[in-house]
Amino acid sequence: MQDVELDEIENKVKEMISTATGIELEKIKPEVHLYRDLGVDSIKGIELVVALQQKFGLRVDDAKIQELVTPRLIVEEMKRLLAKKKDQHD
Amino acid sequence: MTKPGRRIVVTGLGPIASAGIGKGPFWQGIIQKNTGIEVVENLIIKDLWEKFYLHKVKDFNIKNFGINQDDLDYINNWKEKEDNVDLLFLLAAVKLALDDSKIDYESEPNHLGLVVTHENPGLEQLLWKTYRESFQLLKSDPGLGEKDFCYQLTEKIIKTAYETQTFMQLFHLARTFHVHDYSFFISNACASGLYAVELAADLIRLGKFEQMIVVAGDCPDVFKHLWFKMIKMYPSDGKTKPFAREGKGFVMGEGAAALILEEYEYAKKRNAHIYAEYLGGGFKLEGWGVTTPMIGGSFYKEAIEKSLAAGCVHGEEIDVICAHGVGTSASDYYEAKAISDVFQGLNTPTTAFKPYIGHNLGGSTLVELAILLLGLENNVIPPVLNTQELDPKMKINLVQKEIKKEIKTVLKTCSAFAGYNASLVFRKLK
Repeated sequence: MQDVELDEIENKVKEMISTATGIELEKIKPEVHLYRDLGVDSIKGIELVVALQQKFGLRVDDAKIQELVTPRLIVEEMKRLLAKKKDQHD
Repeated sequence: MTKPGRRIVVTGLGPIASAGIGKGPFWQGIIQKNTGIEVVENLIIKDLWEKFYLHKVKDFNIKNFGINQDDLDYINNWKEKEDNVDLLFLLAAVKLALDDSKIDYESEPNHLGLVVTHENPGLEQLLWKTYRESFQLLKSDPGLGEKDFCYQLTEKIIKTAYETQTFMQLFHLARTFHVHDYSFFISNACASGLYAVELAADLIRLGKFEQMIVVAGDCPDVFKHLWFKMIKMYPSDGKTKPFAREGKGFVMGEGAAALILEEYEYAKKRNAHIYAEYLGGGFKLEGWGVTTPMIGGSFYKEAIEKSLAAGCVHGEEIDVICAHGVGTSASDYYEAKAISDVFQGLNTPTTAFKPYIGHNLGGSTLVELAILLLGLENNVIPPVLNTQELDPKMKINLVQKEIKKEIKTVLKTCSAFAGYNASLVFRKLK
């Protein structure tokens, strides 16, 4: 796991969405719908979540994948899981 | 290069599927593309509830397999009047495999080991019975209180529920085939059959047994169909299309298969017919989602690599891969990616058999392995049916026309629900 400050998460998530989907970084706005607006398919969606898990050392509930449809929702979920993990370690 | 130690060979096959019952008819059914698919209608009283495509086994009668009638009577006397068809299929498959291997199981003690696998034997019958009895109770006394309803329903279904316990399936099989030594019931979802082969092989490698029975199967009915329909894995046109651009899921299939695994020297000494040597397996558990394959992870790829390493086999030695091929875009992509990563540049022919026999769930890998081993023996690679156009995302060499050529080494792979990834290597003996 790499230690990631909470305020860095947004940039990291956007970079990873760009890498996983091949979409230019500038197009990845917080509220953009990955599936509807950017043409991400279900396979890319899973791939992205698996990459985020590996990057942040987290486990994302696979049932949540279909809810994580915008960068903002992904960032919020990463922050929530990282905070939860920190609480468990403290 | 051969792995040191005790070698494992397959000396008996007992397949049952919509293509046919027993080695000969089964293989002929595959070659003739006799898929046995039909529309099954489920009726509630007289009203149609649900109808769906199913690869159906025809003319199955447990009395036709030469199993001792006293043993069948014992099973019948023990359980409720509904047939536990799952158990009957497992019994028949084992008998076919023992006969094929020419093993006299009736001599006591016979020192056979047994590994049974099934995802949930008898579940469909239990659910049907629970629904029917619940409805009857409520119909006969609409004012029945919760406590009385629970008591009365329990009385009606308890014996059928008891019979679904996995040790009971193991018990009936062991009792019928006089197995007195180490025996197991395991379940690893759709990969169960491959895990069962590895467990049986390990027991032979350890020197605990010379001969092991491995058996797996399933008789899926309306409840399992509804589950797959609900999670959008059922193709309404009744066509399973592995690795296709338009894959929408799979049709289920009834069936079972048993294999006899045997220590090589022991088999040779008794002049047993040897189908293939089992060279080794690789297994990786994702520990993540139930129905979502871990696309982007490396577990499946690692399972395949481990099987090649276990068998001391290089990728270029594999003549054909039999994939799981369930016909859903996520699972097929995950599988194709793992195969293309491991066999990069080798163009290894890859086939899948669910369009012939349906998805036999916990029994699927063993039934498909039976097809693969018969293909190995006959130097035939049956093609994938139904897939008109390979999805361009799937970078594999899909077999779309029957191939006849000398086959030496084959790979059976599976990526199952709950992240069970498995891969086994078999080789024809010279």
